[in-house]
Amino acid sequence: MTDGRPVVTLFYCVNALSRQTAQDLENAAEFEIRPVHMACSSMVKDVLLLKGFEAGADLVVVATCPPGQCQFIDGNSRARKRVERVRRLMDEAGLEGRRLIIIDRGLELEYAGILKEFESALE
Amino acid sequence: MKEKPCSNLQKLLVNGEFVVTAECGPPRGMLKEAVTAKGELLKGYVDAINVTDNQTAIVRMSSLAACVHLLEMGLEPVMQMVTRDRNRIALQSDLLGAYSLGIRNLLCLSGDHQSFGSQPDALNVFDIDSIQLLSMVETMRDTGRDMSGYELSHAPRMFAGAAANPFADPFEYRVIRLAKKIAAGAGFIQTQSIYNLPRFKEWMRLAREQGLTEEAYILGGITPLKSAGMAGYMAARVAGMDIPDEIIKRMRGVPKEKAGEEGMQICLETIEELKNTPGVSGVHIMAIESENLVAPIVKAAGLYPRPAAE
Amino acid sequence: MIVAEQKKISEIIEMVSPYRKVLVLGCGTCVKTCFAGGEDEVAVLASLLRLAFEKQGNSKEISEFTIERQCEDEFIQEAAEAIGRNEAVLSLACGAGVQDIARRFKNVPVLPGVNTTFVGVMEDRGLFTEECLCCGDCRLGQYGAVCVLTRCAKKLSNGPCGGSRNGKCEVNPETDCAWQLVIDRMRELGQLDSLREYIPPRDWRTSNAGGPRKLFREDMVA
Repeated sequence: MTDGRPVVTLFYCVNALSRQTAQDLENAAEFEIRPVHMACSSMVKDVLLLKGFEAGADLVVVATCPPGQCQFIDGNSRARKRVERVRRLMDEAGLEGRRLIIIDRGLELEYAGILKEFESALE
Repeated sequence: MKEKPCSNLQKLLVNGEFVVTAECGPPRGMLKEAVTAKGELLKGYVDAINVTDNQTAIVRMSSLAACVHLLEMGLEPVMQMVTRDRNRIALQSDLLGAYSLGIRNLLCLSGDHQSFGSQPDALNVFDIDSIQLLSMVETMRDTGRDMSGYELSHAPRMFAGAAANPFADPFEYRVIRLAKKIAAGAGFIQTQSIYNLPRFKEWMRLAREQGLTEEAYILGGITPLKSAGMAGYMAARVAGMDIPDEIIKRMRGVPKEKAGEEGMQICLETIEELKNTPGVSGVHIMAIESENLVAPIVKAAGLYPRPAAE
Repeated sequence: MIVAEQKKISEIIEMVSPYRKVLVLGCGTCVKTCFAGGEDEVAVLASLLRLAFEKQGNSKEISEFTIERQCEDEFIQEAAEAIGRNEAVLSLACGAGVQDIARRFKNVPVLPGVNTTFVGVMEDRGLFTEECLCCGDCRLGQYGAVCVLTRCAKKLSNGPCGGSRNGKCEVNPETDCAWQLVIDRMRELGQLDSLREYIPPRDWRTSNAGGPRKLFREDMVA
């Protein structure tokens, strides 16, 4: 199913990444990106994060708007709390919670910078 | 309180003496000498010695056994009994046992919660509360029946007491609670350590207004402060303790080596105020682990010698 | 509701490890409401278990099923087929549910996935508080509908202890003093005086002290 490249499931709020960055990411050569577009990062549920791993992801990423910039007020902070909780559960189950990350620097984030974060989380 | 007094302590109170009692904590061990040494320090300076029952929920020699050691020295003990560790069956049984050994005063408490002690993993009991315990003691004394209604061969005539904290919240309920304790059978009341005199006096005024000082003898709690650190710690950490800032300032305002003297001075001033507060029948000195301070306090307060016991 | 909390994953992994086919069985009533054992929690737990065992190289079949209530036969029967296909059931119901499942399926080990903690309410978002000890002799009417038996750390029936300070309990400064709540409420109701009344010792026979309790409704028997 995979071609040897690390698999990254990327849940992202459509407001959190610029159209260009999102497009570049989806076409990244270094990773097999499995994108999930969301109207708000808060739509990601605990189990969906885990389903990403069950489906073979090496890394699951949630891209949210920066703190204080969610257009639905606190969607991003709720997403963060969920990610933190699932990460804790993964650690308890011996599953390396560090493979679940959040990126929340929004439009400032450049494609290259994001890829670096992926790489360091996979180290 | 018209009938024959149950104990020497009660007799002195009935006679209108301003009584002095002191607290004695049994050891975390089984040495009788640890109790008698404290007894020696207090002998002649107090009318009765109040023996704690696993205070702060730390396992110690039982109050009952320590009371017996004091009795053997010719001292009069007040046995404390908390409802934290024993159900009603054990409480009644221990009361009968204590009476058979010569104990005649019983202080009824609910007890410090086990979470403050050395074994917070213990189960608590609290089958009955302190007021229900008072009622139990009174019923056994006045009717000769145990809680089941069974008629005992003899009525254990214990002089029952209770604790009151005039400084805890909610203030408006404090006097109601005092009234409940007295109605349930408390013949004497020991208060929490007094540092906030205005609040204590207000509580006493309310107690007098309700006629409570006619029905029970109130002993004001006294604890000598040994250092500014102790005052600060007690103010911040000890539940139900009220130490006004001015007292803490006084303790901080003197050099370290004079702090003990200042603490003593505060005690003496408090005792003087208590002597002049209508309805206060004596003092209860709680100098835990510094029982050596009791004699000098009693002497300096003009409360020595004590009236002879019978 | 009955409030429960999911056990630590490590404890659950150890419990289920002897079995090859495990059904994670949720309960859609109380434990769902307190986020411990409803469909969502079943999905998360089952997923974590699959990932954890896969990582250990331990081949297991973890399946999921949630019924409305694990304490009622009608609903339990809906799980019969799923239970029949598995070697063990990890029940996310309260202790009553776990036992009710076990009672009906004699040949399947039933393991608890949650710690049943108390009967309570959701006082605030994400905050559950204990309200009832199920003593079997309700006196809430005497106490302004605040249960002192449950909410006073010393179970005091006749008023607050000396450790009540600024409305908080000495045992935990984040917990309201139950007696302060009683007194505040009785004052509002103009019934403060009724707290002068002496409340005699409880008869604990109605509680669990009398052994497991039973309730029999003759009129409900066909």
